[in-house]
Amino acid sequence: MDLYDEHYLAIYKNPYNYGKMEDADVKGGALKPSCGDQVEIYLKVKDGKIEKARFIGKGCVVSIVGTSLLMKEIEGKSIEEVKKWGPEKMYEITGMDLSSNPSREQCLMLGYRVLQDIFKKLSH
Amino acid sequence: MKHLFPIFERYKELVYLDSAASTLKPKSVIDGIAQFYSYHYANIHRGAYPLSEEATEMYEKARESVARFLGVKPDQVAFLKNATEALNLAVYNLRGREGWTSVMEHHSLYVPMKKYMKKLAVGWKIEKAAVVAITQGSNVLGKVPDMKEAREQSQYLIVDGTQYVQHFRPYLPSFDPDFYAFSGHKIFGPSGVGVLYIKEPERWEPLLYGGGTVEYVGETITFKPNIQKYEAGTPPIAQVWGLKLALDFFLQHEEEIKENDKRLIKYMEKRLEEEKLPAPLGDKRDIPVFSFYWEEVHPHDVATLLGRKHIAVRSGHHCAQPLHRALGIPASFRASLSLYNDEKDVDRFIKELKVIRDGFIR
Repeated sequence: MDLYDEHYLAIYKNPYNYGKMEDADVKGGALKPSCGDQVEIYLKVKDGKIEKARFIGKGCVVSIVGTSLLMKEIEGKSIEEVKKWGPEKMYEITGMDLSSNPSREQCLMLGYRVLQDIFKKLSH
Repeated sequence: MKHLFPIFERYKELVYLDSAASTLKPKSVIDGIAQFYSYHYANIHRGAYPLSEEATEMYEKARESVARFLGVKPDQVAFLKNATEALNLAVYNLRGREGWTSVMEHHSLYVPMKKYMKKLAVGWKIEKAAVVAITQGSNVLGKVPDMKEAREQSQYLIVDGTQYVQHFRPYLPSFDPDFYAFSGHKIFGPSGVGVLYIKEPERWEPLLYGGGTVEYVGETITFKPNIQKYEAGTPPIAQVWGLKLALDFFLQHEEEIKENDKRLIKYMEKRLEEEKLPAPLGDKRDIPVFSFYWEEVHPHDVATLLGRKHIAVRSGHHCAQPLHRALGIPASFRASLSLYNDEKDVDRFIKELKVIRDGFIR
């Protein structure tokens, strides 16, 4: 789907899983200085399972929609399973077509990268 | 003026509003470079055959053109890779001193100042310092600072003329900088060539050492006494010739450029106001550079959506992160205009901005 499809604009204006989580078990964040995009992710984890996933952030349609749909997708899944996902999973989750804007792939990966950092923290 | 720029023959619907990043190239420059490569090319200096002599003569003629353009002597004009290299050379030679630079600076001047000064003050208002390093035109706000004041406040003055020279001809003796830099590709010329004016060329060191800069190489090394000591290795010969042609183009259209800039600044400001679109960053601009920050729409989204309508703008921090931080914004999108733009381009930009605004903010 085109990145400015109504479907995505609606999510952008009112993203799923949006909000700060005060009692998160683990959190992580990233700032992309090149465009000022900022994302913070919070997870509640029990017995290796992601019970609740939230995020806050400021960014473009691609980074906000990508992170939002990623949070929605990982809720209820085990960390072991989510850890195995490669970056291409972001295309699968969002269904976004970036073929005419390849430079925006880094926006799509913003939330994914933060999640990888969180997993690294968890395994230490 | 679009007819002078071949890109519009191929890409008729293009509205090019990214001249602060790089100007488009007129036919005279493109053809002139092709001509140079086709009929006059050889490596310069030290070639004892006529073709090399001819290329050398053209290269040095270009140096004279740049010197005339700036109001200085040819042996004060060094050809380097770009303005970044030129500014680095200037700052490096003044290293270890106390400096001041403006918050508006492009990273090409800000970063070397930060690296090489013993202490660096940064601000809006020019302050007294051993080294004052300042742009002659902000690539985000379109503001032109007072060069005479910069001179008065400094022992050494470094000026980044990169944004200024595509709009106005600078006359260096009026503010007497120690170093003045600009790049070829932002004044209708080719990329790969930058200019550094050096007030006292005999006094400073080059950044690079190598062929073409030396007289005697043995246990000791002696350097050429002239500007060539700054130009190690084979220089960008054809690009230097292209820059000469670009300056010819600029001078031929100097009055039209000034008139067009002035008219379009007014027109853009008027249209933005009429359509109740957010005002550009900064108060008043001296060169036609308009940057915007919209709380509700990310600059990358604006730029991508405009791009789909064949309107070329830039989004991000424009290599001016300190400025964006000072303004309290993460990034912006920028429309920068030049000789080939007209009212119709502004109208299309405004029309599409309204579509984007209505799509996102409702």
